[in-house]
Amino acid sequence: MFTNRQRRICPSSFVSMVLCPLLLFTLFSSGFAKPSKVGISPHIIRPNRQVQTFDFTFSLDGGYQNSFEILCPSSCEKLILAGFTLDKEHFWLKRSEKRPQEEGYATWSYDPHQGLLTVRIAPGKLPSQGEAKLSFSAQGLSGQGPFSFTLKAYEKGKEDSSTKFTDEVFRGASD
Amino acid sequence: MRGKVIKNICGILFSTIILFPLSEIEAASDSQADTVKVVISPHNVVAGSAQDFTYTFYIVDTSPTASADKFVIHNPFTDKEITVEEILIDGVSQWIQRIATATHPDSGHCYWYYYSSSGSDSLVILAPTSGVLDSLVVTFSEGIPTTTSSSNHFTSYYDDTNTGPYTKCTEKFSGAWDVEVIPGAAHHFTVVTEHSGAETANSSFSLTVTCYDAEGNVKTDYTGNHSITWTWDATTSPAPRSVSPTKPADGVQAFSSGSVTVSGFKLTNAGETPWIKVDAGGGLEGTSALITVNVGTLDYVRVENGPNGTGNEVTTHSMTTEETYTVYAAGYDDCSNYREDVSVSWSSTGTLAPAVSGSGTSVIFDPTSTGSGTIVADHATATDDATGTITVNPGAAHHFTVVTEHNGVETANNSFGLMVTCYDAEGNVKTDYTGNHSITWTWNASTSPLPRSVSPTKPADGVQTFSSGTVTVSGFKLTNAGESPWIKAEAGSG
Repeated sequence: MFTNRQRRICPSSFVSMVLCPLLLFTLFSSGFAKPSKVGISPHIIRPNRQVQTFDFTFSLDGGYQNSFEILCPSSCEKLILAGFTLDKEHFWLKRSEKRPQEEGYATWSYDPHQGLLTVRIAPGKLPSQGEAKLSFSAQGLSGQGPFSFTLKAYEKGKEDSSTKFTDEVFRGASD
Repeated sequence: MRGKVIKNICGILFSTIILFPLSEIEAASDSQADTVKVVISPHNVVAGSAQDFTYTFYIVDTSPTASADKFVIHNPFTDKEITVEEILIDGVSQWIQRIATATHPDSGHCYWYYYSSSGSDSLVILAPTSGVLDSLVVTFSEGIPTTTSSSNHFTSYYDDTNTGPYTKCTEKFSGAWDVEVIPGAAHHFTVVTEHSGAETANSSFSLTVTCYDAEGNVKTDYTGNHSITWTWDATTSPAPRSVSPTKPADGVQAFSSGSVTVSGFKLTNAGETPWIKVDAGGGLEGTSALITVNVGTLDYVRVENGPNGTGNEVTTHSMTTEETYTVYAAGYDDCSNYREDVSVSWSSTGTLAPAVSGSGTSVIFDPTSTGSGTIVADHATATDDATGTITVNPGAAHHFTVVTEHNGVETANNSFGLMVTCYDAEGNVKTDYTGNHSITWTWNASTSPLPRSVSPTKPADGVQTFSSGTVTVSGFKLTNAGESPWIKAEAGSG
């Protein structure tokens, strides 16, 4: 779950379970300038829950990101996009691999082989600043975790300059 | 966007007012479809899984303008989340948005939200106003409860033009909106003996093997023939019976509704708590709890030299008259598992004295004389037992008797012999006092009167050879008829 170095930094279980992921998230996030609210929610999922909806919140960094990917943890079966908002404005969603052309629309697809949820918005239609939130449902989370979710944001054709966030969630011991 | 937000807030309030309770009444709109039939797929889902469902509404009215635009699907699995993946209206994929609203979207769009309240969880879908003329197909996912169940009704309702209340849909066929939660893959067996883990030695019992999924549901569809291997750590019962445990041969067993009961098991050793393991291959296996093997009914008695099963069988035994010997009647089952000491009638054979008699779980033999014989334990119902030969020997050499040749009446100046016999403390001739023993003679005999003054004579002190406890020594001569002397024989250390 953690490297020895990380364990030394975060010795207690509470710190390990809750604060460490947040700290790690902050440490290893890069590319988004001074994100105000970043991370996944909730961090703790209920013991018997096979389908869990998460919100991945992040800040746009002034670039022109129009593609987003969420990598499914190895113990997860499937990711479904449930919502996408920018500054609390809801986008219209459709399961499709075809990139939309209008503002306020997003398409999504899931590649079960790579465990990759891909979200696409119209090129040049996303404001360069603001708080974005991807809501997605994860199916078949098994085991106790931690479940590591990685969000990648990039401008189409410029994947090399992508920005990655990684955050972890855990399964609670009881309701 | 701002206008949509205001509409959505109004929609939430409106939805809260009109959505519940749901009731089945006549449609209130002229264009509202009279009949909407529904079907959900799949009907069988695995307990504890995450499942994608497809829920289809069909408008069956013949009028081409019959329509619907709001749909509510009751979720029988409360406390579960639903996420809509895709909505098709009349075969066309829609842009969807998760917003709790009562406002209908524009053409090509749908709103959905999940309404969760105590005991009433529902998925709500708003299509464009009167926008569904033929069908609505909703693909959604949700987690399935871990416990199997049947007849979970995904009851649904519809409406048109927001004039509600809602009209209950009709199942496309009986059970069309029902979902059965079935067990997952075979995961493990439980193995329970006929008497719940407490069996009797050498008594046949059966074993019930039940197949479960990973969530602990009986795998009722685990039926038919399956090859089973039995293993255990049961061992043979104690000697002398040494009865081996028995189990059925490995091979095919016919399961029904996830279970099979197999007879032919027999455990024999009450001194252990064995387990029985079932293996169907492929990692599918199960092990019983540790089985208590109770002792069987009383079968035979064994005379032992210790109480409560701690002694050994009495075979031959030698003792002296100075000793006592306690023996016990230990009761055993037919596998030689010790039960308890049992009450028997005691008796003896041979020349054991006094004769053994009485009843009880034990008897004390306190011999008063030498002899030999057996001690017999006679039980009212169980097979009896007797000891091996018990030989009672004399006790330690205790004293001599010294008798003159003519029983204490001898003639002056006539030689006579003296018979020395060794006895134990009980007065038994110590017949095993044999061989050479150094004897010292003392007496109080004196010389005869004057004028002859003849001195008495006795053998010199020294080794005498005893046989069966006795030796006769000659060479004694007394001379003084005016006295009654004694003669003392003393061996070694006294």
